[in-house]
Amino acid sequence: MNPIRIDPQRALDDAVRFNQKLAAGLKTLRTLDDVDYGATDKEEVYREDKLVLYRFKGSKAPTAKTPLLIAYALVNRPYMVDLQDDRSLVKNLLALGEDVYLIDWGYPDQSDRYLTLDDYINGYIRRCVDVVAKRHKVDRINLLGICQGGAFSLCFASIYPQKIRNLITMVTPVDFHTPDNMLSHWTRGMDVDLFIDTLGNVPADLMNWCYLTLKPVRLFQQKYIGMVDILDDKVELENFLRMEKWIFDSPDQAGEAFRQFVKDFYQGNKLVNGGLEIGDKSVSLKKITMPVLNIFAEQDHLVPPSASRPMRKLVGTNDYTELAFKGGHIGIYVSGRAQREVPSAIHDWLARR
Amino acid sequence: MSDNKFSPDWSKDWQALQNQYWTAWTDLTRQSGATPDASTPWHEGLEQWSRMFGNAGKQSEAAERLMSSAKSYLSLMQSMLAFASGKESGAINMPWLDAMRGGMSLPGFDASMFGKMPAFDPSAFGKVPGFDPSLFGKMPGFDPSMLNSMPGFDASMLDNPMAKALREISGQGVKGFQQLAEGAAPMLQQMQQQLQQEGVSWLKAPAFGYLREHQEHYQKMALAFVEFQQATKAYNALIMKSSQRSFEILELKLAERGEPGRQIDSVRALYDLWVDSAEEAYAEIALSDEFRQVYGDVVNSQMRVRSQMQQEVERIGVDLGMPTRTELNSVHKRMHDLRRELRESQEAQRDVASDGRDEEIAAMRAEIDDLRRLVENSEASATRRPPMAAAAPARGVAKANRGATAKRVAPSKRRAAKRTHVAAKSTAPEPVESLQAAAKPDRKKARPAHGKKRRDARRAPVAIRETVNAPKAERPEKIEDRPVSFGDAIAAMRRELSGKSRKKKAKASLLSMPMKVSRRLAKPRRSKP
Repeated sequence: MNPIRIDPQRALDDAVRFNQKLAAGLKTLRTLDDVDYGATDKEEVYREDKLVLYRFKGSKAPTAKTPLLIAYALVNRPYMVDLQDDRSLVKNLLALGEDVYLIDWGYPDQSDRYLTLDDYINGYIRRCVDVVAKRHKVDRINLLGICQGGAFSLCFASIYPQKIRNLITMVTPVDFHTPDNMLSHWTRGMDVDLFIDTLGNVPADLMNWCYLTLKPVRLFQQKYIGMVDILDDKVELENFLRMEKWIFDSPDQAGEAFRQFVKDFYQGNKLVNGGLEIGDKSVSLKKITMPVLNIFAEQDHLVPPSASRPMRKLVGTNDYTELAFKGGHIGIYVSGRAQREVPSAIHDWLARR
Repeated sequence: MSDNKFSPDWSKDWQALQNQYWTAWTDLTRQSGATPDASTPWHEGLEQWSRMFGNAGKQSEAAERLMSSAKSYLSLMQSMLAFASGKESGAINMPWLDAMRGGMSLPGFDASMFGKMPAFDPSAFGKVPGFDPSLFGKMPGFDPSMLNSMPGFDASMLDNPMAKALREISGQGVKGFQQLAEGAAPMLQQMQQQLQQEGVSWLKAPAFGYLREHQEHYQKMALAFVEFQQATKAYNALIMKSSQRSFEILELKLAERGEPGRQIDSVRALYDLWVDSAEEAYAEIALSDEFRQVYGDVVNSQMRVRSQMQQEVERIGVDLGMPTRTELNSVHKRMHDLRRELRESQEAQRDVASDGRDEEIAAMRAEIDDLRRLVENSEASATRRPPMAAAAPARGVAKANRGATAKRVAPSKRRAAKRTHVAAKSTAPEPVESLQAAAKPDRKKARPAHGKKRRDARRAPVAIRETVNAPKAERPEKIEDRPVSFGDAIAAMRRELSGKSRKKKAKASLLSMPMKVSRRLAKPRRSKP
């Protein structure tokens, strides 16, 4: 029997409806303003170069005694954790009583091309941690690292264990050489020295292009066909466009930091193999003896679960908890399930420590 | 519809459906003029529509991407309608599938997109005052037409179908390769012609004469470009392979859908199935070793082309007395170094001002927290011990307490802190597993005491025994109340953890009790005959 059984009239109706949606949607698109983002009030508490450290202000005073600092990746903007009112990791954490800080790395330009991982980890993150600790008169704070920021947080916690009370990592790669890691697979044939010497900073558009080509048909085409379904729903359309903005609103990457990250993490896999040095400080995950909560996404195509799970065996702590989230790299922040599950999991885990 | 039950006379029905579509389209758009011919491709309606709507305000980029995808999808819809109405019937492999191959090929990756770097516009060569790309042809021994005879050099790659599909899909935000190709076209054409005539060996010939430096540079640039073209060709061959593979997988997936209830009943379902197939095929290729090699070649060869072009721009900039990227980089590097030195200097000054005490105190506090946690863990285990075992070591408490008191007053806080700091350093990396093992209750030691010890334990007041066995989670607060230095506290807890005998361990555990309790514990011993 033929596997395709399409009623011609239905096919025609679908096509006409498709056109109707397009017509309505294009009119709606013309009336929409630029989408806004960021649902929660925040105050600037520290600034250095292009970096800004924010403290979020919830509707009620925090009950947690130890503040939580979020270190996001360099490759996208950190407002993903506070995208909109009903999709905000930060807002939910505040509602649970956490005291949340966030590092905004800003947009590096050519004058920042010589920033190294030493500057980011031993410099920026260390000073931000010190600022937060000093404000709260504590010696150690909780650190939440996301994606590349998670890898940075692992390095930081290894170098400065006395400054971190609890470490949380989200969608964080540890083993970069697993067979399903497409991004890592591609970078291993690259001459990253030539790449950075030529480009200086790595342009954001190039980074985005690279990410899109991990799933080219889905991300270049199917996503926009799916967009037609929501074109007549203004709220859904705004949500879609907000995500679009976040995806393509990317900073350039500081050249030297990118060079080192690709060489040591993607190519050298030094978090697993050892020998990683950040500035003059060596990194060994065995030095991470504080409690660790590792959250990863089961359908993550950027950081496959297999890249994150090895953390369990590599960290020195015996208080290691793992949470597998049913979703993807982005869904872990913005999906409805994420709003229900992730903030409470973090809060409950912290409360027990 | 393969069995044609919907349309015995497919030609008539198909025509009627097409007319319906365009009538609906005309109604929708309220266009003036006649309804387009039924055979007009549907996506052409979108072309007109796009022009009619023009710029979709601030969301124009999203609209552009949307329209690009919609055109491909509508083409699929139209071909499927033809199929469903019986125009194309029979086996799976039929004209609609070919149409799909043509219209829905894998967008994949246009390697040349690496040329879309912001601010990178080869056409700028032609805009620089005094720069004439035709100079390439005037260099001694240089004939740009040689490029066309280069092995692997394929000018048609600049207009390959993948790149075309990608340009249509990608929208304004990812344009760039086109600019690269168009901008560099005059220069590249000259190179191509020269290479066709003289072959690649020319690019490796030694340069000489007044303009030898220039010639050498152009030769390097041409060679880099040829390598880039070869790499791109290899890359696109893999993408093409992936695209072909996607339809093989689609056919396999379709073959699984032959059973009633599993058949594809909408164009959208078919499209989604194709997307799954395309991604599966792409992943197979993209994760292969061959792809890694080719991908690396594309990236690296294009970086060499860009690097050569940048050097040329630099040379022109120098000739015109303009600042160059190298000079700016040099300034940025110095600024960066100075910025680091300044911060290090400021932090060093701050450390000197605090004499390092802040950090030392922070380190000690962290150490205490760690030890507290370990004590809590060990005490949680200890609560499982029989009460007698815990009560037995009541002897010698007063002595231990005296020792602790003496230590509190003997060394200065500073000295104690230093000593603790050294100790902390030596024990910091100790694996938690081993510490936990140390904290585990020793089964042998946990057995009830015998003889005299057992009697002593029985004589101890019940309240005291309960205190000794009380959940140790509350202990940290009690420790904080005591007026001891950090060094003493750490030393006491360390003794508690590393005590070699049960007796010593008991002493140490009592050290952390409130003073009143310790004294009460000591009394029975004194009153004993």
